[in-house]
Amino acid sequence: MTASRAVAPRSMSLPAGDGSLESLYHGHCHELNLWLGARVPPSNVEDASQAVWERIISSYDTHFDGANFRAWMFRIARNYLIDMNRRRRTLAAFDEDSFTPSAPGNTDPVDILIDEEYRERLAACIQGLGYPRKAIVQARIAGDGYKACAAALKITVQQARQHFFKAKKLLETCMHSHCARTT
Amino acid sequence: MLDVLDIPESPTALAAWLDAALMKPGLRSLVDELTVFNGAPDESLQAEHARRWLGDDAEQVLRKGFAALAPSKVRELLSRPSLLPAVQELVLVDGGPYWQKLRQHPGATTSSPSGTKRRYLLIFAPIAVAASVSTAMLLDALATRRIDDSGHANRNVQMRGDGPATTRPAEATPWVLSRRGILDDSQNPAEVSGRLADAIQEWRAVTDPLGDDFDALRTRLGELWAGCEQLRTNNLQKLPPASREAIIAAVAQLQACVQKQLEELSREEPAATKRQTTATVKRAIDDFVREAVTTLRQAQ
Repeated sequence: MTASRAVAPRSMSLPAGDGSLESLYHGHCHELNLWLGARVPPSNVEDASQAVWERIISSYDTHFDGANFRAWMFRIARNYLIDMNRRRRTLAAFDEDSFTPSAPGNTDPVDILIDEEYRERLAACIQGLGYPRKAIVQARIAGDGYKACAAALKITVQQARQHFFKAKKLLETCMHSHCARTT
Repeated sequence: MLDVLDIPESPTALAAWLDAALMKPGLRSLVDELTVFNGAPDESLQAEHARRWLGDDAEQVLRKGFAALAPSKVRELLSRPSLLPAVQELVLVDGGPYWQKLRQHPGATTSSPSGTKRRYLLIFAPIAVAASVSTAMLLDALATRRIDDSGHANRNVQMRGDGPATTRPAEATPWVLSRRGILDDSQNPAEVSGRLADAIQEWRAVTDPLGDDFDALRTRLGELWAGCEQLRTNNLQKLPPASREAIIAAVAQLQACVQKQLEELSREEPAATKRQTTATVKRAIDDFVREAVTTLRQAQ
């Protein structure tokens, strides 16, 4: 089930017609999912979206000032993520092996660990590229063109391209083998 | 797998690529990857931080996207990727028709395909982009099961699961999906170049209905550019070296022409002359496409 195809939130009992919460839901759920997708792991977007809509529904009549619904919706979503982070920190405080999570909105310790592992693995794969591939990949991802990379490394543009494409393949293989091991 | 490795080289294409990334699902992955690659700081930024960072350019970016920024400022987004979600929030709230259009693009649904669907994407994406169909559109098609298990597209289906039943506009129909297998494991250069020529030739069918829509043409050009880049770099490994080089040279030439025209389109100009520029660029690309198709047909 994809996020865009999410059903209306569980507790939704809304009046029909324009201006209703239901029409707001249809008009803004895509944007909320985009916003959440920029802040939580993909597997958590749907649940987070549902939770935020539940909050919107429960506070719409009392807290929405009628001005900019989308801006208000994002405030609700941000508060939700802050609450989730707080909850996670509290839970982690009871756990001797707690770690510093980097995934806002992610309350599942396994997911957080996977998230951390992903970053660590990526860093290790980059490190494993060796010279000059690592330098070329990092320069390209910092926005340099092949010409600049080639000039900095005193190689031809063609060589710079070849190193980048080789590095790309190596990184994908490295990350893929990691994913295969962890799934 | 790693979106960040598809980063375009030209500043113009980079700006368009980042615009599209902001309006696609899963921006977080790109932010994570940029953070790791560039050793960037982890920051939690909001729309107001983005507005402050954009300064006097904010209104222009809200109207036109990152193309309104100086290239050095666009590059700053790569070294400080936490700004991306903040800018995303800003444009989701205050962005103009340009951003709305990107969001309403058929591919811009908040869905992510399963691993199996992703594999389909790896096969289809190069074909799609070569022929100017957004890979995001394919992503959407895959995620919403518009492609059945045999890889065939089901046309005219509902775009959004919960929204009103809508069909794709005619020009956005995933026409290219019928060309499945264009770049699969074929070792036959004639077959590959013929299929590729067919796919590229459909540029006219995709862009003719756009009329003088400046932004739509720019988007399609960006996709064509990205498709050429992908073709040049990722595929055709099974072909004999000489054939591969000939095909890639044709694609590279087309890409260079596309890049030049993209730069034309990114120049600041009054609205009055935009229509003329659009028509000129369209004509030029039509010619380049014709040339590329001829070259590929000769290579058969």
